Amino acid sequence: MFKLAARLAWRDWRGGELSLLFVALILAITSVTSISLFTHQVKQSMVAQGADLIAANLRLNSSQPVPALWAEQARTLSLQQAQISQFQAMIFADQGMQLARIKAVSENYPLRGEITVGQAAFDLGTAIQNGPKQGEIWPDSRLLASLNAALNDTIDVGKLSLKISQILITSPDQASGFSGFAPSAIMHLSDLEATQAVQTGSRVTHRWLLAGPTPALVNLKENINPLLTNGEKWQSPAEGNANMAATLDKAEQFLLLAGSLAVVLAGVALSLSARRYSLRQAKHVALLKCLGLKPKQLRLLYLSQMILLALLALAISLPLAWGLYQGLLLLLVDYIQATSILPPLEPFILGAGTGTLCLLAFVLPPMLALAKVAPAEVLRQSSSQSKANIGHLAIGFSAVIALVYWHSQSILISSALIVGVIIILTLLALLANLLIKLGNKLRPHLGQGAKIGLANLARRKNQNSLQVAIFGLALMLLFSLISVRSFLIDDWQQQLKQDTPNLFLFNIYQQERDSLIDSMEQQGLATKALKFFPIARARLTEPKLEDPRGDRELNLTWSQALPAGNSISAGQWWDSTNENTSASPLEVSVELDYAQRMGLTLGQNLTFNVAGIQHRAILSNLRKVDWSSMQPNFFFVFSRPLVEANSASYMASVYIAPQDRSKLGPLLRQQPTISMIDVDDILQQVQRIVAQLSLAVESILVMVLGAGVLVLVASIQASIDERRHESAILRTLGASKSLIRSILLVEYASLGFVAGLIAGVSAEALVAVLQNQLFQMPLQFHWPLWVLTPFTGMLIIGACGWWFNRTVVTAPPLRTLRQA
Amino acid sequence: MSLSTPFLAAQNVSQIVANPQATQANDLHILQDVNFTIEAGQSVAIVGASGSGKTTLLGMMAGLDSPSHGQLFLAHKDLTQLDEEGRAELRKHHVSFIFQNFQLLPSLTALENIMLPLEVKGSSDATALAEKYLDHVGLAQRGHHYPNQLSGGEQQRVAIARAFAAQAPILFADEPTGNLDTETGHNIIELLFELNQQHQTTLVLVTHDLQLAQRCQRRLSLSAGQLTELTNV
Ligand SMILES: Nc1ncnc2c1ncn2[C@@H]1O[C@H](COP(=O)(O)OP(=O)(O)O)[C@@H](O)[C@H]1O
Ligand SMILES: [Mg+2]
Repeated sequence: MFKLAARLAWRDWRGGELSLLFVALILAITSVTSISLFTHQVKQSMVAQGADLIAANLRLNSSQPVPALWAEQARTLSLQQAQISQFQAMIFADQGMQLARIKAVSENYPLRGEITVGQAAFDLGTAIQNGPKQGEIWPDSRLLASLNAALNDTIDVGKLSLKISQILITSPDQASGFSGFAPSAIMHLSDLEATQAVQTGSRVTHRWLLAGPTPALVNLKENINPLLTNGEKWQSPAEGNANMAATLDKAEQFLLLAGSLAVVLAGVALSLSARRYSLRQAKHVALLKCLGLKPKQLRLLYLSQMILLALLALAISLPLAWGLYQGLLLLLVDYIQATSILPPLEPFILGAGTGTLCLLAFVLPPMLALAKVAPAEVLRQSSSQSKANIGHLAIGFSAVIALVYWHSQSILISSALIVGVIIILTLLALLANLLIKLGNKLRPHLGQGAKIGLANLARRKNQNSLQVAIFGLALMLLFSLISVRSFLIDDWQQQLKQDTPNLFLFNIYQQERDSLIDSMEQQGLATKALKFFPIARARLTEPKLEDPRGDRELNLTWSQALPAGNSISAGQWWDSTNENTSASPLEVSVELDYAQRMGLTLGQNLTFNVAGIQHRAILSNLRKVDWSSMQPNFFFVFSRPLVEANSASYMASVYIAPQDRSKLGPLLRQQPTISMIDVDDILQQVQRIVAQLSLAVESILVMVLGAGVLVLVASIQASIDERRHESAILRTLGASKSLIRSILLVEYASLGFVAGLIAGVSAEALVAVLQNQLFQMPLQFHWPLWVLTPFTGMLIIGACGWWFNRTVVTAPPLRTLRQA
Repeated sequence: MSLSTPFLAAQNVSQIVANPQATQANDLHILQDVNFTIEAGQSVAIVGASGSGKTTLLGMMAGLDSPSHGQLFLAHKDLTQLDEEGRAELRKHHVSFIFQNFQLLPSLTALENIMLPLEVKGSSDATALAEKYLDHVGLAQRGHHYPNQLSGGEQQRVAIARAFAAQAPILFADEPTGNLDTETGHNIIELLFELNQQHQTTLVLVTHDLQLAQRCQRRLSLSAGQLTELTNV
């Protein structure tokens, strides 16, 4: 039986019957595998980038040094480890003293990422792999400036003198948010005891850095978890940096989404070609039955044929996908760092699984149903048209959804796709009928080609509906992906803006504002981007919050206008035109997540303690803040000043160009009371990653677009036989080439128009769900989509249809008829 | 099996198909109460106007379709008692069929089309046998051509060669010479009867060709769904 199957398959193959199915299968496996491989690689690369931000793959923050037992466990798991003890200490130099944040690091620090060091303050810096040796200290530019010290000087930390052997420019884990107020330095951990700077009772944060394969890390984490005390907390790369985490998360969601769409497109392409194949096999089956093959044998025959086909396709597609992926990596070599030579197994399993499962789900049901074809079919001109079997489609559709879920592990993506498809089908049912009716009304007023074209459309209503559904589905997926890509990239571009502030200045008093501007101008620094925010330190005293974090002192600000990049999610912003006199009640705006965490609700009265004075304010609105923007963000914004103008303190944000960085030292000497946070390095890190991610997103988009176009081609091919036959008959009846051309054009262009319209509407819905739920971004309407898509659909499908049917017009009709 | 059941027979066979557009009153009665018995080795011609139900009857005799009412016997078996599996088994060993519309598979060459029944039976020398029968129908040179490269008459001859190749004891032929010129048609008819004689093949054929009908031992006429035996023409 297997031999017969192989022989029949070979003949079908030779005759081109199987080739479309085979191509679709290869397309499905290759696209899913390579996209998944690429996604995997990008994710790895993103994790590696994230690891740089905490200098490790995993970090344990604690108030105690790591117990020897745990370190031993990590060693047996072959994990790399390093330790950091972080504390504040007074540093003494010949010409000054300064309170600094000191990081004492062990030998292996950093496990991930690089330290950059220079020879002078605010140098550009060169990367090195290791921290300071025993006896050395590396102060940062800020500390060096305020100590008025230089390279090779000796400075004292507690009781120990250490030599300045490098100037610290950046360290991988330097900044997590705005915690880095004080100037800082790093030194070797083994010098710590000798300093005697750390006494019992002084505040020291201990960090245990770990790096190695994920399973070992997870293993260790699980072993240690039950032993953790209250103050001990794990930190993974994603938690290292809030805005980076948000960006990485969005990118990952996009990649998963794109991969899922590739799965759906592959499924559609396979289902189309499977349908065509099974239709054309009907005659074979009837004849084979007539020759005495039993239904059981026929099923076995087709099953073994499909297995053969799948094996062959796998043998071709998997290496092909690997090659494609390597090519893509080669293209993006500057952007995506390859992390391992050995390819992960999952993408191959996923690709192979998608192909085989789609084949089983889409091809087998109609093939097995073929075994039920009555042998009497051979007695008549075989009907090559069978209606789309709802049951079979449902099987295929469920398989695709299952695959999407397997791929994305996201209920949201899977259900959004289901919703999209349901919308498409509903719209289709409504629109297809409506438009065909409209076509009937129009027909008397049209040229002959359009007349026959529209008549054809109406006549093949069911078949056309299926085709429109498929066109619409493919277009919807493509439009959605393009528009998701646009808003993601737009969002990221915000972070890539040249003048995003990279320096934050604190402790600026009213009278220092002008002198700061003066000093900057003196140094030749641009002050255009300089922005001031009034700041007060305050504590929320009423109501008492259960969350202990609610008891902390916080920075708050006041403003008449809604801060840039913020949006109101509940309540109303105060009227900014109105003079907010002290007569009007004090209002406060609270950041949404904070309010939810602390259980604050709209309209509640809050009491704040600002420098000993109680202020009562009404919570008048909740604010959404874009944490991935590098702007200063506040939990509390008040409607009018809480502090008298001349005693207010300000914070400022400014952009300093790389070539101007050397001017910061002199500036800080002129303004000794002002402290600053330099976020340039984080910003650059973010920008680099964003550039990479944008490229990855674009590449994936191109791959999925390719898959989508192939689906369109497959669906046109699926209907080509019948159209060919009809055109040939029309030509024998005397129709001119141009008439047939215009018939085809009208048919395909109107199919494309309807499909595009449906796709536009459903893409809008799908994107809305994704944007709001998956990417947590505000909703947008894309009206151009509604206008553009029908015409895009018309153009693409009209052109494809015309191109693939061009031989119908040129081939001698007799030849076409003979082939029918 | 048992000799009490006839070799090839119809008993009160009716075939009614529902008219797709109307109510039961409009049902199409293709065959009504058809009865006949055919002995092994006989040659029988079925004649009748176009649309009289000849193809339908032939298909049912070969077990390709089931009647609405009545009983059919093929190779001593009651076809109406068998399921599709059983009928397939019966066809495999006892029946070969020449179709009015040839039913050659377009993706197979002429030779491969002839090999198909042999392959289904698991024959080891399918190629050699197929070449022999292709030669019988005078198409030895065209074995590697595809059906759409052959004329209607040539396609018919390939279909006939395929039926011969099946080497079944009962041969059904639906207008086997309909597309052939007199000369070729004559040769094919000779071939059919040679087979009937040599291997005691039972031959049931539908034809408009009087000459062909004359050569058969019996002639059955179908009209208005009724079958009658003709004693003379
Ligand atoms: N499945 C069917 N549905 C409707 N009508 C049928 C069907 N099969 C056959 N007929 C009709 O039955 C009649 C006999 O058909 P057929 O047996 O092919 O005639 P012929 O004697 O020409 O071979 C024809 O009128 C045909 O239209
Ligand atoms: Mg007939």
